[in-house]
Formats: sequence, C-alpha cells, structure tokens
Amino acid sequence: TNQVSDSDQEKIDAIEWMTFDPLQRSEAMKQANAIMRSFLASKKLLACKKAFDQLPVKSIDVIFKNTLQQTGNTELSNEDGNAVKEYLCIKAYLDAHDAFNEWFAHYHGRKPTLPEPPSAANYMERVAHEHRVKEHKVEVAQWQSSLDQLTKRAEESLYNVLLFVTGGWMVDQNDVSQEEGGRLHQMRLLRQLCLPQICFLLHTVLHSTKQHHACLQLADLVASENHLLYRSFGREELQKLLSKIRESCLELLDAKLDPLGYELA
Amino acid sequence: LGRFLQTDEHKYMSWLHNIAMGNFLQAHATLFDLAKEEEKIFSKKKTLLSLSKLAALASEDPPDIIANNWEEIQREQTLMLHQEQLPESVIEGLALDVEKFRVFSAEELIELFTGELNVDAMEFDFKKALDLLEFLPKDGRADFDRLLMLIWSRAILRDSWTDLDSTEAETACKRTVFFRTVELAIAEDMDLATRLPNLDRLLSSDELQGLSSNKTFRFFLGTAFEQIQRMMAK
Repeated sequence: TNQVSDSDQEKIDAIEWMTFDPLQRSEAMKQANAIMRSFLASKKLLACKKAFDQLPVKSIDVIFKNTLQQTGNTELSNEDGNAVKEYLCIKAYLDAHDAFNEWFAHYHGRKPTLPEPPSAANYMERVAHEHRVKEHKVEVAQWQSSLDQLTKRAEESLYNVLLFVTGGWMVDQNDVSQEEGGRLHQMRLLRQLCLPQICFLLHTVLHSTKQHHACLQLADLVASENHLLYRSFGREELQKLLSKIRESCLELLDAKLDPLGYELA
Repeated sequence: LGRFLQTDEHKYMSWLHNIAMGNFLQAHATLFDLAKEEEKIFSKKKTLLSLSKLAALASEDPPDIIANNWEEIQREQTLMLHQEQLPESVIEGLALDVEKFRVFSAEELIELFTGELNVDAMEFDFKKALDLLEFLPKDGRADFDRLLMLIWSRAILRDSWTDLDSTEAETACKRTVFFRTVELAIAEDMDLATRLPNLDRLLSSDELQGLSSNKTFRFFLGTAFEQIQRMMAK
C-alpha cells in the first residue's frame, strides 16, 4: 500500500493529461474515479491518494460552471451528479484513513514516559527529579489534549464514510440507464471491501478511548434499515464485529454496569 | 438451575459466552428474547435488537430457523424508527430526555403523533399514525377501530372547515390536512377501502360530535369525500 508501481504511476500521470481542457473536466473526473476504484480494490491507498491529488481541487466548481454555461442552470446531468458524489465518497474514505493513521501514531507512539526516579537521591537530584515530574505532567496533559482532538477528528471522518449522505457511501444518487463498464458492480464490491474495514477502525478508536457505549451503538448503525450497512458485511466480518463488541461489553461489566452499559437493575 | 439461568443477569452473560464460543444462533435467540422483554429503556431495546439481528446474520445455521424471528425483528425495528421520528414539539412537551426514552407502544405513538403536543402535525404525521395501526397487538380489533376513527377525526379537526371558501369548495377541501393525508395514503398504496371509514361513520365519531350537525362542515366534508371516491375509483 505504500509504494506506487511504475505502471500505476503512468495511470496517475494520465489523469493530468485529461485535466488540461476545463471543458472535459467531468470526463476527467469519471476517468479518475475509475482509476481510483481500481486502486482501492487492490488496496493501493497511496496510489489512490496520488490519483486524487492529480485532479485539481476546484474540479467540482468547474463542472458546475460548465453545466451552467451549457444548460443555463446548475442542475448536473445524472452521470455528472453520480461522478461528483463518487469523487466525494473517495475523498471521505481517504480522509478517514488519514485521520485514523494520525490518531493511531499519536495514541501508540508519542505518549511521554514517566521520568525514572534517581537511584541515589541526594538533594539536588531529588529537586531535579521533582522538576522533571512536573514537566512530565504538563507533557501528558498536552499529549492528552492532542489525542482528544485527533480522536474527535478520526471519529468524525470514519462516521462520515459509514453515514455518507444521499443513500450511502459509493451508492449512486441518480439512476443511469446504461451501466458503464461494470461500474455499479465495482462500487458494490468496494462497499463490501471498505465499509467493514472502516467500521473496525472506528471500533478501534472508540474502544481504545474507552467509549464503550459508542462501541455498542455500532451494532445499531450496522443493523439499521436506513443505512443497510449490514448488507456489505460478510458472515465472518459480522462474527468479527460481534466479537469486538463483546470485548466492549466485558469492559462495561468491569465497570459494574450491565453488558450494554446501563445501570444494573 | 433452569430458573437461575432464566434471570436477566444470566441471560446477559450467556449471549456473551455464546459469541465467544461461536454459537451465533443461540446468541441471536437469547438477544431476541431480551429485546422483546426490554420495555424500560428505548436505546437498550434497540441495541439488543440490533445485536440479535447481527448475530442471526453471523450464524451459519440454515436461514429458515431464523426466518420467523427475522420478520419480527424488522417489524420491531420499524416501530422503533417511528418512535425516533417523534417531532421535537412532542418530545419537549413530554419533557423527555431522548437518552432516557422509554419504549412507547404503537397505541401511545398514535396518540402522540396525532395529539395536541404535535403542534405542527401534517399529513405525514397522520399517515404515520395509520401505518402504526399495523403494530397494534393482533387480538385487539376494538382498539384498531377506535384508533382508526381517532386518527381520521383528529386529521379533520386540524382544519377549520366552517371557514373554508365555499366559492371554490373543491380546491378548498384539497388543502385540508385530512385530504392531503388521503392523497398521501393513496400515493403510498395504502388500501383505503379498509383504512378509511365512510362519511356517516366518521360523522358519528365522538371527536366530531361538536361539528357533525353543522351544515357547512357537512357540506365541505361531503365534497371532500366525493373527490376521494373519484380518486379511489381510478
């Protein structure tokens, strides 16, 4: 996932060629989406990110402007509307991974360690140690405060994928009569590949930060008929999800609550 | 020992154990029992149902064992979704903390969606109330009829029929909450033949006693019903 092969780089570079003519932007976005779908399907996250960055940030604006010029209003065609949504879905997914990775690195890597007490404690060493302990407390507080922020950001961007608006992540908003090259099929496979994984990452964040009640509510989210996430989960993934939720239940039991986190009757 | 294991606390332990052992069918069954029993805390019931649903899907057992429960789970989930959609004014009026919601019955929800606390009730609320009739206990035919009358009477009472403009009676009727509820029900394929009482029965309902002898009211409601009959005939 962390290397981009030469042939992948060629595909990424090809996107740039398609962006020279602003009038072709919706076509460029569709092509870029197709390339990014194939990267996501083979879990090439870095390549996907590079491909994403090849498409100019203002592309959605450009597509709206083109539509306005051609039709006199900003109502996108069904195909363009779907392409823009897909592009935003991919963005949300990349953002979620970024946010998770940052959270993960901070959570596991940078917690300040408690200074060792001096072995033979003379007065000067004791004073120096007390000073170091005070500094340590400040560092821990800073660490915790960054962690809180990173946790919040990671949660938000992961939920953002799971709860993606207008019908869900990688679900078309508009019906299009002709299916282009198995696009819908690929999108369904991507939902099956990515949504359980995002859900597990979210559980990791919530569980590690002791938000056990929120862990349990993941069950509500996945089982909901509004979002239909459970349809993108295979049997083994559901078993894994239940096992993870069970771990959160055990934590709640330890805290003298019932397994769902309510006061014992 | 059997009774000992039946207590809530031990049922709770048992599904955790079932999941650990990979016995998802048993976990599903226990969680489903617990969900049905839970009437105090809404969010707890919801999570028990969700877990039971996920455990059913995680189970490798043949789906026909689960099929019956599955339908009931979907039904319970739909009912709970209705409760989650209670309008803000109702929740404020009841001074309820959403986090500590208790579980409302279908009858209570019908009462709340159509009642005074729902200040801005529209056709969607009354249609929802009609949908909720499907969730009443199956043995209560009398309740069904009483609530059906209640819903329609209350829909009618949302408008001041005696002030409608008689020079354009047909159009005026169409703007009433009652009429729009009928339109919505037809659009969503509800069988109005069994869900809409006839004009005489409605006029005899308790709620409409104050109005039923009013000629203007009868004229407008009659006009509305004529149009509805034409719509239903299509």
